[in-house]
Amino acid sequence: MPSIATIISIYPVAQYLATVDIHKRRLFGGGVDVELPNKIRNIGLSVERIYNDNPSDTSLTKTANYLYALLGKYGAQAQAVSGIAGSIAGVIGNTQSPLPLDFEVTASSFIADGENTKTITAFIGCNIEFTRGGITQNTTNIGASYYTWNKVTGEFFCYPDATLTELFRIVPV
Amino acid sequence: MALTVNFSTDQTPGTPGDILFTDTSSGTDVAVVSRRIYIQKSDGDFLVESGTTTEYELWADFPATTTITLSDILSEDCACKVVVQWLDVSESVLYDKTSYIGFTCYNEDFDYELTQSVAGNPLLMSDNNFWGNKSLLRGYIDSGNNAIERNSDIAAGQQCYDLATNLRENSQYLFNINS
Repeated sequence: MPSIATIISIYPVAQYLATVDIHKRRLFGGGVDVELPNKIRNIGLSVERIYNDNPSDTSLTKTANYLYALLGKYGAQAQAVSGIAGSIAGVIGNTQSPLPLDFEVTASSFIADGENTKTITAFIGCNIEFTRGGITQNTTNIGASYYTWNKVTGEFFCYPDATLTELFRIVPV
Repeated sequence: MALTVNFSTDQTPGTPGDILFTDTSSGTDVAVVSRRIYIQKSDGDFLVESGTTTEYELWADFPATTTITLSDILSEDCACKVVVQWLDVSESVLYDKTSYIGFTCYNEDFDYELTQSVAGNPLLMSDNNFWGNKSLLRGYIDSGNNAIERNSDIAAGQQCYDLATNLRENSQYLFNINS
């Protein structure tokens, strides 16, 4: 529930928002009380007058809360319009993820036969999933195959070395 | 710097019969020592405190005393012509200022009572008697204020205030507050 001061400051905005919305809804206000803008102003003025004289008047909590209830959705809109409320985070624009690397090890492949390291600048900032011969690899070295990845420098390392005809798939996540 | 006279008035919710006057003059004039306040209704009568025999209230001790409260001077909302005069020691008028003012605290207080009623019983807002008449009350007060502020027409303003006062004085028949 907003503070009394906030409710007092937004009700005139809610009043015009309600007026415009009801007008757009045409016949019978589309089900919205066509008297709502008048009611908002009527109640708002009387509450505002008491608030201006004595903001600590004990009756204000009840009457201001009633006013806020009367504003309904227009109260929430008014808060957003007035910039005194939190707002829904905007959708972050789609940034194109780098495409996975999927190749067979050859003498001239991205990681060539006999190699075990490569700097993958396109994946800097990402984590990666590494699949080798259809088997998902781990970064934990327990004596079998594994890999390491530095997302800051883009340095990739795999063990054992790449061998001819192996299938590598490195997916940024 | 020459004296530029001015004043303002205020009413406090809960004490609708009182009027607070504040002298907002700027500059100085050592000849001025006191003030008079004339409050004239639209029917020509002057409003004064109980016991005052003149048509005005004396506002002494200029410039030291900047405020004065006239108590129980109103019994209902009034549209008034207010004249304040600044006087020298021989009570000659050196300066004067006239304002047309609507004193609406009675009906504004009543309007807030209605708001408290509907806050305690929101279904009242769906009662045609309640909302219709509360809306009228607001309209009458605003109309009276407009008549005075826009055109200094205290006769029309008083008619509007009287309509609002009629709603207040007959509230038991008009607002269904006990429902």
